[in-house]
Amino acid sequence: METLQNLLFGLSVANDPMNLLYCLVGVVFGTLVGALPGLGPAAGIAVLLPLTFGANPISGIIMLTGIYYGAMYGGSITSILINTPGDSAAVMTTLDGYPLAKKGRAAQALGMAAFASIIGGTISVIAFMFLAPALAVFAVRFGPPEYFSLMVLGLTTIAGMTGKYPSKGFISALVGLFFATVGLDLMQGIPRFTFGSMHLYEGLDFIPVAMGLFGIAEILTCGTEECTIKIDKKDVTWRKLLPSKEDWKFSLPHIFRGTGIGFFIGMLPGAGATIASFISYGVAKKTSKRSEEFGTGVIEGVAAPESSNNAASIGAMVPMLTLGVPGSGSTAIMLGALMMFGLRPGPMLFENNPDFVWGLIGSMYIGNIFLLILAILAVPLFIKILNVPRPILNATVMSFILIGSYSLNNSMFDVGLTIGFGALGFFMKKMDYPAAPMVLALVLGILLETSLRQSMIISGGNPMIFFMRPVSGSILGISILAIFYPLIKKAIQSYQKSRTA
Amino acid sequence: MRIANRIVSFLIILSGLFLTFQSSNLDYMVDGTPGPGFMPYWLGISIALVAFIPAVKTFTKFASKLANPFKAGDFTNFFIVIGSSTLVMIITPVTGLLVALGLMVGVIAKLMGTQSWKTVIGLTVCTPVLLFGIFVKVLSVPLPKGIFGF
Repeated sequence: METLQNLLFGLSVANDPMNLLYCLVGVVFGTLVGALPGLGPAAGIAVLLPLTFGANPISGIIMLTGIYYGAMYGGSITSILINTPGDSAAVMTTLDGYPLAKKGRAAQALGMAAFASIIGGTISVIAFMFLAPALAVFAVRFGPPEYFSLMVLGLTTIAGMTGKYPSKGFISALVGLFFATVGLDLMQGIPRFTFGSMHLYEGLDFIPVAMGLFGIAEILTCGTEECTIKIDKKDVTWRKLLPSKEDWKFSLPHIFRGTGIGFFIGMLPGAGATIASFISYGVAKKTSKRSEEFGTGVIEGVAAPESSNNAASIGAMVPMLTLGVPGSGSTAIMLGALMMFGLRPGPMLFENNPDFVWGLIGSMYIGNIFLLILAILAVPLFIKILNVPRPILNATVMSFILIGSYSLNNSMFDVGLTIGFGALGFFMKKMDYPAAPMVLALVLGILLETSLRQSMIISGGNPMIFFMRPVSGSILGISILAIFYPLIKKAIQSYQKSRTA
Repeated sequence: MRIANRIVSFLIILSGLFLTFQSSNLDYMVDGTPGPGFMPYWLGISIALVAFIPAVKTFTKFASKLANPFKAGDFTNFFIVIGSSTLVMIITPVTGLLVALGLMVGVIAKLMGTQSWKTVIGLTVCTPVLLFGIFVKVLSVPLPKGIFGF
């Protein structure tokens, strides 16, 4: 009852016309920034932070939150339309979103991405409201061994989503992990694999890598007529934007599952929306009735990661507000903003600043409604992008990719990296080496290595620490099953075949 | 595909071994716990080992099912896009990034098949203006300037 009273209070705070305006501006800018390759939620929040300088703390954080989940949805737009994820959390959406667009179902894919995002976001806000304090206590119990196991689980699920050749998926992930080791060693400060280049001291950023492997590789392999996506105007009616009954039937269980996974993983400091989206995709693939078709354009392949990354963006607020520990890069910037506003995140925030906390929660509901309206209104506009002749689209996208990679660190070196990874992506695509595991391993690599080394320091060099702790041991057990799952599946299938023959 | 797979697997195995060799220059263990060389060492070995699987597959029946991934003309787009974007890297210090990108857009659009010169010139002029509006005016990104002052 008290929670409901607090929620009503929060909605009244969020309904202040000024706060509504800030929320709307945040969602619109977030969606636009998320759709620009290279500028994900973290960069978007950082770039747009100055806009909140004159605002009160509540309005300011409402706007930043709007940017955050707007960008989460925005990232899916370019993933579906031009196979270029706007940010790492949207990488998984490309796997089925783009094939759907190629099949002429871009509208339904974008529509489902919007609905899945909103359902995931709304359920997570409800969960956030009721479960935040208790869940935060559980999440904080995760130590380095649990994190390491979680990362291993994340990477092994890649084996299940790399389609025909799991071995090539594993190679891709391992090479991605190697790329993550480039730069200064975090514990000893020794340069590794920098080959004397100062530019590599800070390591490889995932954005040039992702934009090269996905965006440029797509342009290189799909510049010809057969790759042109033709959208009939009749396909862009309002009715067509709504997913069909069959789409819902396939997607709904994965949306709910993705929301649960996303919210939980989002709460874990450092894990964030990226790992949530690819675990959700992996789980969706393994549990779907048509798992063989994943990667060829199935609607639940869009629904699962999209619900998950939006749920994770809300989940990441839990440790940030209740413990002052950011759950992702984006929430780390928001944490800085909160401090800039003179607020001290932590358990006392709920007691000392209820108008702030509950106003923020209220704004999440309203922000989700804004996002739905914006998504539906903007989808026909986004679809029109696909009818632009391929050479013009390729040339324009290429300019956005290069300027996006430059704007990351204001460095031409990053532009060169993007071009280099574009060339690598071309050959990987031709040789059936999937790019997603490499990008995701690069994102998770630093955290994985740090957790591994911290765990070994805690245990005095005993690797059994990963198996002795119940949570870590269970996660690793699941990971081992995930590694052997393709082999077990094949064995069962051949056994069944031999029995029927 | 069979030969291409063999060559790629061989190159990956070599890279894995090179990585293992390079990581031996870094501390493997420090005070009884993994050092900076620990993870790269095992990654190198793992890469080399896993790369054997696709290599071995090329000697089985499985390889005959695979079609040649490279067709005639596949490299045309590769050379147009990679070539013109490399040119952007070279001419940016002189022309500035916006002008270089404008030229790149025009070149890619024309060489990839846009017939109308009007469209090509329009793209060459309008794209830098659009990029200037978004990245310089709205997002305040300081782009490299050239002899034209922008």
